[in-house]
Amino acid sequence: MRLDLDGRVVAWNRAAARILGSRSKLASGAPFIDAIVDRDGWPVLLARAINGERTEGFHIEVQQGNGRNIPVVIALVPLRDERDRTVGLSLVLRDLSEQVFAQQTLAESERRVTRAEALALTGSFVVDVHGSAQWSAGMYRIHGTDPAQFTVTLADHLGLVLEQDRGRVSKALEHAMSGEVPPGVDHRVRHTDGTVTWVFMAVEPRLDARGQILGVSGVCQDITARMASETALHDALRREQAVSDELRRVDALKDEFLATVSHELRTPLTSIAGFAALLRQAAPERADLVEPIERNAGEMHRLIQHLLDQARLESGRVILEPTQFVLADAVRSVVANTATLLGQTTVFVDIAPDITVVMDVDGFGHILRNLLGNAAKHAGGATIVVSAQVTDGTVIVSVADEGPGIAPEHQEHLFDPFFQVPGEYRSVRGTGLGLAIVRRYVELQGGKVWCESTFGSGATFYFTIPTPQSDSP
Amino acid sequence: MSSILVVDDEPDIRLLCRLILEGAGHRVSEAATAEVALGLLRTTSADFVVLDIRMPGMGGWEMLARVQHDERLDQMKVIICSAHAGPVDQRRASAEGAHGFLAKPFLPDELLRVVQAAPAPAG
Repeated sequence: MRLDLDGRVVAWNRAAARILGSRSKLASGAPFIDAIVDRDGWPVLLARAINGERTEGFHIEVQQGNGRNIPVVIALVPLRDERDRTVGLSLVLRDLSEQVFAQQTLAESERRVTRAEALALTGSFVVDVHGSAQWSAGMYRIHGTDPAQFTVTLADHLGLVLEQDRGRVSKALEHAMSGEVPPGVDHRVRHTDGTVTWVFMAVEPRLDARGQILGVSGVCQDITARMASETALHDALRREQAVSDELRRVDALKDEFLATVSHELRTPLTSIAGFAALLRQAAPERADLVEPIERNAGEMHRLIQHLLDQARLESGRVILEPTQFVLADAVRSVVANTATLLGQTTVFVDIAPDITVVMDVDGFGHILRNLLGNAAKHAGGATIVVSAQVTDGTVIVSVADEGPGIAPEHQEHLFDPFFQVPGEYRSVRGTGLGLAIVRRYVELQGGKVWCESTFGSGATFYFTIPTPQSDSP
Repeated sequence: MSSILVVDDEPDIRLLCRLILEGAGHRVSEAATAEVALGLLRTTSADFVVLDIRMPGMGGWEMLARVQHDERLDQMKVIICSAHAGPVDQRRASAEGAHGFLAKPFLPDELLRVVQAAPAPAG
């Protein structure tokens, strides 16, 4: 566009018309200043041009014909005649609105990235093949450095990493630089003020369109808080581990102690019970003296057995291995091995020889031995009858005694640990554990146990042995 | 009538076994350790050994293994007699070639039953 020395528009071309708009108030002869939004700088510019100075790259906003303001960059160049006098001015406008919009968008997205970086404690960076780096604001924050005082090169970056971790960080960057994508690296960095924080870094190679390596791009995240909670968790786990190791050790010690004690107690008990039996044979007329020895030996045997059973059950290490066996044979075997417990009590086994069951033999032994011991204790000297019946595929074993029976109000508590029938007319001692052990073993094998008794005329204890589905007759 | 060697470090248990077994007409000798027992078996023979497990020096399992590997003693029957009477011990006894298992404490009849239940010596 051509201006005269007063700054009036003399002529404009189509490009100028496009920028200013067809309905611009700038008609031929109007002063250009009328189109300028912020007019402060223009008079100086105009005066300089008249004096022969060129001005380029000057930013102003002009109003278009539709009333919209747009940014433009102008160049104002004096036009001279042959005697070097300024006779007019050439004004060149360049529309910046697209560029400014792009810059604004860029700035806005940068602000957004910066805010996201601040929130997520992340930062991003690029490094070229020569080791020069560019850091986002977040990177400076994460590394506790001042952008104004810290020039970034790869070497500077590595210098902030704690020496112990530097090798791993350096190796990851090298791998990325050679075109690989290495796994992320947790490492520590030392801030300018000496603070040490944890940083996670992930890097990958930057490639151009032809696949040539331009350098490395990466992201970092401050994971100090996460590491602190992980460390706290780890410490807590380790403490927990130490406590449980100690408990296991003490538990093993207890088992060993119980095994030793029971062994040491059983050895003298063998002599007491054995010699008492010999004495009964040698001097049958003094059975009245031998009977209390035998009864007490039986009681002591039961106490030792309860101690061991209860300890084993408490430790939760009872492993059941069900096998199939003939019920009557197993009952007779238990009865035969329970002689010292039973004393002078007679056990009558009334079980059909064809009944087989599937359960843990040892568990079965614990159940029956405790029921027999209980019956012998309360109904000593009388007869105990062990019988069995099969109902709907379930085997029900019963142990019946002819003792004093159990009052109805006590029956439901019989299987509670340490329960003793209060005020029992005979002084019957015991651990109060026998029937509790019975219930635990029965229930471990999926069965039920209960008692039926009429007070004054004996008690019968029942337990069920579930039969595996396929074995039902 | 059988000849029976009782191996147990407890003198009272050895006496008890002797009285029970002699009362039933058996011939009984005793050893307080497995080492003494193996020494005795070099010069005398026995139909049965009633063998404790936990003893000072050589234990019962070790002696059982040695007896199993001695051709001269392969007719001899070993009855394990232990205060460790869990199913693990019982299974181990039969797995390692013992002919019977007796849990302490036991009564005279039980010992006699185990000795009588063991199969008669071959030949």
